[in-house]
Amino acid sequence: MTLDLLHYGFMQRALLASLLVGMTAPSVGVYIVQRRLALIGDGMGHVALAGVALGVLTTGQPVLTALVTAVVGAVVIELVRARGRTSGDVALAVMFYGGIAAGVVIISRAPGGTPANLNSYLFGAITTTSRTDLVVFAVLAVLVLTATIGLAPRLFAVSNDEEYARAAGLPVLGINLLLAVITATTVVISMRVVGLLLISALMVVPVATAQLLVNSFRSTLVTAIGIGVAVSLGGTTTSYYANTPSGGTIVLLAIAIFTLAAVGTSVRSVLHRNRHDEAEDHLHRHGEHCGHLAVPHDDHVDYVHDGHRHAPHGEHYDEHYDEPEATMSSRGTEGHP
Amino acid sequence: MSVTETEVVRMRGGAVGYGDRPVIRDIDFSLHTGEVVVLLGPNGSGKTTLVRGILGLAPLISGELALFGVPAASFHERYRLGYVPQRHTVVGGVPSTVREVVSSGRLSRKRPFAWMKAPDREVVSQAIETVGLAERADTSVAQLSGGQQRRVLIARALAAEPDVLVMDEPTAGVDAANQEILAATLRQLVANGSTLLLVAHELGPLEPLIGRVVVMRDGHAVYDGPPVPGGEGVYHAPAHHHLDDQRPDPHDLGLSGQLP
Ligand SMILES: Nc1ncnc2c1ncn2[C@@H]1O[C@H](COP(=O)(O)OP(=O)(O)O)[C@@H](O)[C@H]1O
Ligand SMILES: [Mg+2]
Ligand SMILES: [Zn+2]
Ligand SMILES: [Zn+2]
Ligand SMILES: [Zn+2]
Ligand SMILES: [Zn+2]
Repeated sequence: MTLDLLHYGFMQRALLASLLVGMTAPSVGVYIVQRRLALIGDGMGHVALAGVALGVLTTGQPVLTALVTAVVGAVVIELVRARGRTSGDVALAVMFYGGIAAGVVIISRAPGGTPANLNSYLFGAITTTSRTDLVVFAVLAVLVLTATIGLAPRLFAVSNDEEYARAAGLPVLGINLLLAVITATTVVISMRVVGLLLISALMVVPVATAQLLVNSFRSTLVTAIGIGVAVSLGGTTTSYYANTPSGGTIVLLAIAIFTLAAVGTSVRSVLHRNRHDEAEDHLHRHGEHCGHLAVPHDDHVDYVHDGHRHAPHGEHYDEHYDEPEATMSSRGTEGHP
Repeated sequence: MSVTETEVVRMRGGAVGYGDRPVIRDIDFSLHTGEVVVLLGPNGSGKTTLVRGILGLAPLISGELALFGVPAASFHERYRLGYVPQRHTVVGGVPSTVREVVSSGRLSRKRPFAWMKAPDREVVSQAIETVGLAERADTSVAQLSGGQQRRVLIARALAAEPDVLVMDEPTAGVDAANQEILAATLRQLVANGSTLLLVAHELGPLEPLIGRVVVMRDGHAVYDGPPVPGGEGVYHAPAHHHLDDQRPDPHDLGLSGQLP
């Protein structure tokens, strides 16, 4: 395959911008998913739209106005959330829809502007990234990654258990504000190739995919960044050949990979479960002299106690069942005391 | 004990609550180095609120609170107080291993951007070992039972190497095998001379470890003294009701209508 697409400056810039979004979006998204706020990035995209329109109207340079609007919006969102009132939910909805409504109205006042001009900002377009944009995006991406990786332990602790973090004396409000601001910044980095309405998907879907495949937070972070980079480069390239909006293409690709992983892991767990049912904790290791009845079972030995049959499996014990039961049902027929 | 004994927690006339509404009132509570104190009382009596007040998680509406001899407002060495919240799970939206969750307990000892060094990792491993989860250290916490997750939370508190451990119902809703492991963990901590403040529904197997019992009822401390052998009914006997406060206040009169 010839890399003819690399002969075009706009494509080089689009691919570099994709690389930046592909790295930053999942690195922020992992903390957002951790605290079960998957839709917060979507809200910030709505707010940023007002900034984009303002920039188009006044200077023709929407990136910086979008950044300022999104960051201010993020701080307000976080302060509303920190108050934790039920009215906060409504306040956020008002802000999000206010942002998108203001965006549509303001852009219609711009010279030659119609709401259709917003399409590329909402859904991404490969031809729009300027040289200046790219420099700004690169600086912002470095700042975001410095925070998401350098402060990973703190962001993890606060996202995992805010109450504990507060008791431990960590600056919880400050860390939450930081996360809000880097989320807003990531939204802005995404505004050219992914688009403001779709960026939230690139924050969340690679993380959702990664957590199907791995067991730890650290490997979820690394895997999600890998998936994010792959789908954003792949989607941008595809959109060049297929002549489709890049943001939509990237997100569909991400969802395709997620679906594949979800199907794969559920098939695997169904197969696995048939022979694997983990027993409760043990206070001793079963063995020849532990006093429990040892029953040979195929290629191993089960130990019988409290009406259960336990077979050593790595560091833990599995529940095994009498033959007829094992074939009748996969799991839990006996129930634990 | 001796004159070197220090007062870890000192609350005088404390009222703690949510918003402006006090949930517990007139609390005089002290905890000294080396003590093992259990907070008892029925559901809703304010045990968790007292603990959260001490830790600065619920506002002190009136009264005084000092931690390690320093007024709470200017106390910054939070890592000296290890906290095991009243919660049964540690599972967030993203999988995390036992080691990762326990390591987050070490952060209060670390500066921002500072990575965990070998001694930190050693403390974390030791904490995991203490709660008997060494073999599960790299398992996702989501795969652990409720009782094992409680032990992860204890290890997380231990990872800060606190001077005092505050545990809110560490044994509630935990199966027998885990109860036994938890009791063994607590025995080990007591043997090492740790200062413990435990919230519990009943003393149960912990009884021999305990030096002092504080019984909460309707937001008041109604008993503060040594554990009474032969049953917990004693703490709730009318003779002990409002031991520290004989004046009937309007709030209690209002509440007493709802009580048997
Ligand atoms: N976050 C909260 N906001 C308002 N009231 C609360 C909150 N948490 C607890 N309460 C109230 O405080 C009282 C004492 O609760 P708590 O301290 O949890 O009791 P315990 O731990 O002894 O079961 C209860 O009546 C409860 O309804
Ligand atoms: Mg409680
Ligand atoms: Zn055995
Ligand atoms: Zn077997
Ligand atoms: Zn067994
Ligand atoms: Zn197994």
